[in-house]
Parts: sequence; structure tokens; C-alpha cells
Amino acid sequence: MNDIGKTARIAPVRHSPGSPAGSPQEPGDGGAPATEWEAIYRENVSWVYRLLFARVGNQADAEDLTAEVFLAALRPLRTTASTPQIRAYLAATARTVLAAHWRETFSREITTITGDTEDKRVETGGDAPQRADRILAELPERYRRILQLRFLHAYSIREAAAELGITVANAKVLQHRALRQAARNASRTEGRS
Amino acid sequence: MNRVDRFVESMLREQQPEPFPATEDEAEELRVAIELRAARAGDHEPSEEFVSTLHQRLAVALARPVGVAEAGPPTWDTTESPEAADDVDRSGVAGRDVRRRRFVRVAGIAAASLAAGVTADRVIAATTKPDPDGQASETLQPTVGAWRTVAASAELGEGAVREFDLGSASGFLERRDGQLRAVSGVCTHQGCRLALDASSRQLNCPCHNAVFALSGAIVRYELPVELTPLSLFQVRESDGAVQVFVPPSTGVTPPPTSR
Repeated sequence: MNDIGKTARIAPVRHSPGSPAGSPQEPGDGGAPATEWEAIYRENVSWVYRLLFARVGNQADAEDLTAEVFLAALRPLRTTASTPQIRAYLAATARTVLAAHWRETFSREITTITGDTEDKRVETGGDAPQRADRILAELPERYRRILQLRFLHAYSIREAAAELGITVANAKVLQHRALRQAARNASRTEGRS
Repeated sequence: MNRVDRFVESMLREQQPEPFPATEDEAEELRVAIELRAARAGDHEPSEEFVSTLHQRLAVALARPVGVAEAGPPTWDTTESPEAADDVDRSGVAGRDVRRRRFVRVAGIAAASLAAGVTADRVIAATTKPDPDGQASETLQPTVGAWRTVAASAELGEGAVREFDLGSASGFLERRDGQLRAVSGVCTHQGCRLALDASSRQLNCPCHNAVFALSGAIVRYELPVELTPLSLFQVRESDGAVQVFVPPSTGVTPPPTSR
């Protein structure tokens, strides 16, 4: 139980006199004044949402986690920070929130937010299309087709079955095996590198 | 349908997938499924409705005094009922419960950040360095503060533990193996005041039964949240007095909840 806190937390911060923190904490510092936190929110809410959506794959979780990030992050945020600093801070908070989410729901970390979260990659949805291409390229044709239809083209299982000329039951089995094969390929690739 | 298939169906229908304790093989399948889904073109923007609802929630949360973090359920929480979410006899954890637990955690994170006086630039400094030891307690070094006497040296013999309360900071002093230590007396979860169990030399939280060692380390807790170890104060002995370095009484450290 104790190791839960190990990676998924915002570490308490050492700060020494002469750190770049600048002015001391204001008494009762409640974070950003009203209009400034709103600007920070507006400028970053889509960015945080995309960051998380790419790692949970569904809107409901992406929304919940985005809300968590802003609720945790906005109050202690100094609005004098620059945009890259704010983004780095939000990404750090999102990393914590995501790690805790996975541990709570699936007992292990499924996806992570690593250091490579500078604006560019996330704005463009990261390298998700290339990664998907690599995953699909390693699969036999029928496995590739079912995954393309379902995940990339949003076909229902029924529509995908019709497209492939098979029964719904067979489409389910095909999808199940295709995903398992893709996962095996992925873990083999990771093991090599 | 196995549970990975169920996860995939939920995800593709934009529903919150049902939690389950995944094996490493299953985790890899979930990972691949998410990667493939994330590669779909378009639809990666938050909805207008979500953006404006969260904006309102934040306005409410930020209007509250420091140290009172939001723990309520999201206001747009109108999705599946616990009964509906639970019809597939699985882990028994309904979607609604999961959500509530998540929001409890927000309070914890926010409180911990506040207790440590976290500001954006300092967090960046901390996250660029690897965490030396996940369990190590950090010594608080307020930028502004003062050495305050909390006991006479003679009162604190070898092995003694004493509580102190300076308003802006409260905690426990210990002299062990000749070394002085001063640990925060406020639980890192929701800011409850800790109580000393003298026989076990541990600090108990009355709110959710978390237990800390006098070193600040977490002994045990049963919360579905992250918990950080207690902070330590700088402590010194000067002219027969034991002193700790604490922030001024108007600082950001949340005041003790029980007074």
C-alpha cells in the first residue's frame, strides 16, 4: 500500500532562500486572481484534455481527469509563471492524476505522461497516428482490417462484420485475437529495446 | 466477452470503462487499444459544455478559503446509476463510486501542494530532478520564517517526544540517538491534526486512520488516495532551548483544523 505514493505524487518541494521563486508567499495566497486563472484555464483546457484523451481513449475519463488536474493545479499556481512553465506544471499534475487513475482502476499503469510533452507534440495529437501505423503494419491483413475499422473508423461491431463479410460473432473473435496479437507484438518490441 | 473486450466496447462507445485488476498481458492489450483509439482523426477537443461547466466549478472552488479543497461530486455527473453500472458482476465498483473516490484524491493533492507551499516554478524545479527516494520526508525550508523556541533542552531527554503548537505550525519533537527531529503534526491527506500514540511512537490521524512514524514516513493507511510522508521542520538547539524554523503565522500552511 505504501508504494502507492512513490511515483504518483507531487513531491514536496525544497526551496531555499535565493531560489528563483522570487517574492515570498503572500499571506493567505489563494493562487491566481480571478481573471488571471480564467485566462490560464482558457488557454490550457484543450491542451490538458488532449494530453489526457490520448492516454485514456474515452471522453468520460478524459473529462474527469481534466477536471481533477485543474482543481488540483489552479490554486497554487503563480500567474507570473510563463506559459511553458505553466504547461510543465500542468503536465506534472496530469502525470500524477493519470498514474493514480490507472492504479485505482486497473491496478497498474496503463499509459503514462512522460517528459516529452512539449506543446508541439501534444497540439498535433502526439505521434499517435505513426504509432498506430506501426502496430497495424505488423499484423496479418484480417487482423489489421478489423482493428482499423473499429478503432480508427468508428465502425460498430455489426458494421465491421458486414464490411468483412463475416458474422458478428466471428467479428468479435477476430477483434479479440487481433488485439491480443497486437499486444504481444508491442510487448516483444518493448522487450527488445 | 472477456474483460478486455468489455473495456474496448466501453471505450469505443465513449463510456467510462469498468475497472478491474489487470494482469500485465491485459494491461498491454488496454495500452494498444488506447493507442489505436487515440490515433483516430478528429474529435480530440473537449466539448463546449464540459469547458464551461468546469469553468464554473473552478470559480466556486477557488472562491473558497485556502486549505478547503473541493471534494464533492462533479455537477455534470448524470451518467449511469450504480445499479446500471454494476449489472456485469465484476469488481463491484460502480462508476459513481470510482468518481467519488477520484474527487477525494483531488482534495489530497491540493492540500499537499498547499502544505508544501508549492508554486509553479518550484514544482518545475522539483520535477526536473529524479525523486531521490519516494518515501523520504522533505524538510520544509520556508523562504520567510523564524526560529521559534518550542521546548527547553532539559525537557527533551533521550527518547522523549513532545508536541508543539505555534499556530502557524504544529508538530512533534523527538530526541532519539541524540538527534533532534521535528515532524509536522498535520496529516498530508486532508489536514487533520495527528495524535501521538506514545506507546508505539506513532502518529495517528483521527480522520481516516492513517498512521505515520515520527520520521514522517507513512506506516499504513487505507485510503484510495496518494499520501505523502509528513514534512520535517528544521530544528536546532541554542542556549538550552530547542527551536524549530517555521513560517510566519500568516503563511500558507493550513491552520490546524481542531482548535
